[in-house]
Amino acid sequence: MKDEELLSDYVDGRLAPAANAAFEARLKAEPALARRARALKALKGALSRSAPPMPADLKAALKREARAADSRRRRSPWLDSLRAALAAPWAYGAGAAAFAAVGVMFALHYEARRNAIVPGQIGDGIRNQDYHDLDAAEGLRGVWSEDNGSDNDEG
Amino acid sequence: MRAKLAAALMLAAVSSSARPRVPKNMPEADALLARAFAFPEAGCVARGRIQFFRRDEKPKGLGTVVYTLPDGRLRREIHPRGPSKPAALVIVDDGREQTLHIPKPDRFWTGRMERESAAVAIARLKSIYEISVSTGGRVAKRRTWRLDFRAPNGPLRRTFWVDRESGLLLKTETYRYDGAVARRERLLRLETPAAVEPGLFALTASSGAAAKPLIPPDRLVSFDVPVRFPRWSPLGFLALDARGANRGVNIFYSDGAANYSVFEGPTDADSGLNEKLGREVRLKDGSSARLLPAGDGAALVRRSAAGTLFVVGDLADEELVHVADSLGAAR
Repeated sequence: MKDEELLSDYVDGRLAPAANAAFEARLKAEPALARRARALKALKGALSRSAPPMPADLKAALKREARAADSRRRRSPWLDSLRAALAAPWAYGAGAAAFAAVGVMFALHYEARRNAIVPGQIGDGIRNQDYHDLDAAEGLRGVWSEDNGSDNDEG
Repeated sequence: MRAKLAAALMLAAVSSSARPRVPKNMPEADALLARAFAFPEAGCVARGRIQFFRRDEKPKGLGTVVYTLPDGRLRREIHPRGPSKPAALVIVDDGREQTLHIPKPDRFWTGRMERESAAVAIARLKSIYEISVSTGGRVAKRRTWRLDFRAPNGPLRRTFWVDRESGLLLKTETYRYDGAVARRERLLRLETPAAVEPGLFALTASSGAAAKPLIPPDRLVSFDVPVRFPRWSPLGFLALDARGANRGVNIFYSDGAANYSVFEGPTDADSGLNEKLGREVRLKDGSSARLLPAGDGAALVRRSAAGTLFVVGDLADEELVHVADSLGAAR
């Protein structure tokens, strides 16, 4: 491995322990190499300070969604109570009445929203609103896993 | 006299040993690129790995199984826990339409994502890099040629390893401006010709879930700011978020590890970057832009009388340019 590659891996903390120890020994013996390592570390620090991170509000929204997804996955005690109540004979009538009430409320809410549309829509007629795809955020999160970073040809 | 003769012999020896050894059959970069961008002439199945490196973080990786047909159809499965386990993401691309399926929680995205011709892709690479060919090592047990892509008079930005025999692109690396590897994609095992079932290239929603558009429709976002989504994005990236920011609009893309964002706003929008760094490139619409370092990643900045465009994140330089080109003319 060339010195440039070693330096880069050393600064990134990607050298194996033995290689790291050997390289640190070289740094003590070779002032020029040590200077280059210091410069690379300083550059790394400067660049990481100017890195464009994921917007904080998006990160917060994704965390909220992850927490919500977790809580959805957990079985709620009230759901069990509801299931038990639905087993009772009177539950069907009460359920139908509740369903009708929710339907009326939804229709009223939808009508109010339809009348409050802001003019100026473009494209396919979608109204002005921020765009979030939380399905994509949630789905892509499970795609990657930790890696040892090696470049071994396993073929 | 004897001393002069010895010095002349030494000089001759040094110059001949310093001269790089160029194999007689070393191909030209153009020919190598043309082969690398062509699809295999027979069905192909390949197992590979993609690694992503971010400063001060542990590397991330995923396993891939790629199927291709000679007509340009491609299917890429992502297997985080090994190829025998179910895929966490499946992408099918027939050259015109692309479909992306995340089995859990069974979501589809589909849309027109036109693949540009090899000639256009190669022309873009040649317009933004200095390209050199050398001998590569073995990748997937195959001997390779190595193509280095450098910023003109600047650092190494990308490397391709191309199979000497088949011309297949076996491995790529993208580098940060400090020289460290940012992303590595490589094939580990390759079978071609292979019998590839054409049914693999038809992805349909198993649960009847409606597919979302891969490229969301242009719209107005907060404060009635118009947003237009790029018509091209690298394979596996999805738009997660778009909102008004700094009197413009910012769209955030991710593939789960790497991120990038596209900002369009007023002419005086601040990028927070040192725009004197980097180099100038010409976009498809004839406008001029700059490619420059941005933290761990890279950025493309275009400033025109019509407005400002920033494409910033963990993409290779030609991908930044491709995203910008897909947006069309400055506005």
